[in-house]
Amino acid sequence: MEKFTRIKGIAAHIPEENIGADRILPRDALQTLHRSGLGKFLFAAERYADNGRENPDFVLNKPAFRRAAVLLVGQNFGHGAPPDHLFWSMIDFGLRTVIAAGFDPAFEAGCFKNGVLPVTLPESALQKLATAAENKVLITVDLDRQTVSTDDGYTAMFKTDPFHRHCLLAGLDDIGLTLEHEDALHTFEKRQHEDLFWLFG
Amino acid sequence: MSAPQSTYAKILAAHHVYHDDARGDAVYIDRHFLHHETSPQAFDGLRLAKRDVRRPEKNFAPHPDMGAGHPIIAKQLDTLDGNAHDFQLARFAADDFDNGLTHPGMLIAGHPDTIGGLGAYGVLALPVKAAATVEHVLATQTMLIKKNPPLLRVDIPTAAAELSLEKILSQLEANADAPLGDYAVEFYGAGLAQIDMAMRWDLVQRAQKTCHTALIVPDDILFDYLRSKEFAPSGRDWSFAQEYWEKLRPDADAVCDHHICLHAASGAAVA
Repeated sequence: MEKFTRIKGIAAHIPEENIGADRILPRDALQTLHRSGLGKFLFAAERYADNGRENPDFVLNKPAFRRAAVLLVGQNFGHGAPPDHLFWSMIDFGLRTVIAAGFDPAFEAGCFKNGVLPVTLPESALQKLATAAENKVLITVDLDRQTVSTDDGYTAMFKTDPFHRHCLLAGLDDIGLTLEHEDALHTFEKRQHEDLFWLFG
Repeated sequence: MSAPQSTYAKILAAHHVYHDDARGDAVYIDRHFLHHETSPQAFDGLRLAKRDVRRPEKNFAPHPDMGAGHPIIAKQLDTLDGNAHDFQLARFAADDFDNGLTHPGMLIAGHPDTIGGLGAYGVLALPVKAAATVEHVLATQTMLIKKNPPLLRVDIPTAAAELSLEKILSQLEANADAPLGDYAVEFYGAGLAQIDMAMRWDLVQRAQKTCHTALIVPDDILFDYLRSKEFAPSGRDWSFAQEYWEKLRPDADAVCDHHICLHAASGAAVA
């Protein structure tokens, strides 16, 4: 997992509430054999018309937001059992952080597990950021300082669970965390090999 | 003295690697059986993170000729075949399970379709569906368990001619106080002596479809069955293995979360 320290970029604002996991990543995208290259499926139902052409009105298709690095969303974003693919798709698109007034717990857990930072901020801060997003003002999300700031001088503080913050800052995913226990793993394997030698004959 | 343990608890304890307050317990997987649907993204993840398979010899991919016919499955199997080759994994054929590939006390992980009735061999088989979990086992040879599923112990104390598979399963359904899907089920008792290995496989496979996992406590019938199998311990190793397997039997008054006693004649009594 790539470390997350600081992200700076344009924010795409999708203010609608209750956008479910199926709308963010259509079920069809789960058929893939790979976890890379999923960015093209993100919001596919809204990004593309039936003939496969891009819908020019959808925010991620507008020239300024095609390389958005931050997603600003409404309440209950990604509810309904979000698959890991959804987060791989966001990261592949270039979105490693999502900001809202609150998150569905399963969505939030999926973010941390897959290396996306969910940022919870009060409505007053979200309004400032929405204005910045619409004016294409660059936004910086700094996990080390736990701040979101705009290039025109606004700063908001946020809080992240210390364990998840540590993992993102260090780039530790589930496997990385387990491999930090290499001593315990090695000791177990050595002992099992000695005690149950007949298993390895 | 620690609390009296079930076979289920003994197997878990024997595979405990470390505890971590945030993530639970890491348990060591002796054999991991890969599946064509859940493994491609796991291998992709390893490649993206430039990681290797920790113990290739403990991760088994099916022989490529298994399940051929359907075009999508054929493509998935082909992908798995390539990955197995790249990461130098072990291979298994369907009849390897009859040849002692898994034996008592092992902790197994695999797709529910693959691990089917393995609990009949006295192994604890943990179902794995998420690609992320498959990747974790490949990279670390461990699985993280946040909370152990509760244990439902099913006693079959006496031999009885009318003890059929249907009867056991229907009594199980009728007497559980929570959905069976939440439980790990452990079958135990002298009545099992009249259930042969083929029926045990069916029993576990059927039970595993409705509960988290199921196993049959290893006994002499199992030991006799395994004795001459290709992949079972042999020679001097056999006696060491059997000595270990005997200790896997549940202690008297072993702790469990729910207990059903099946009486062939009068139906079930709930203890």
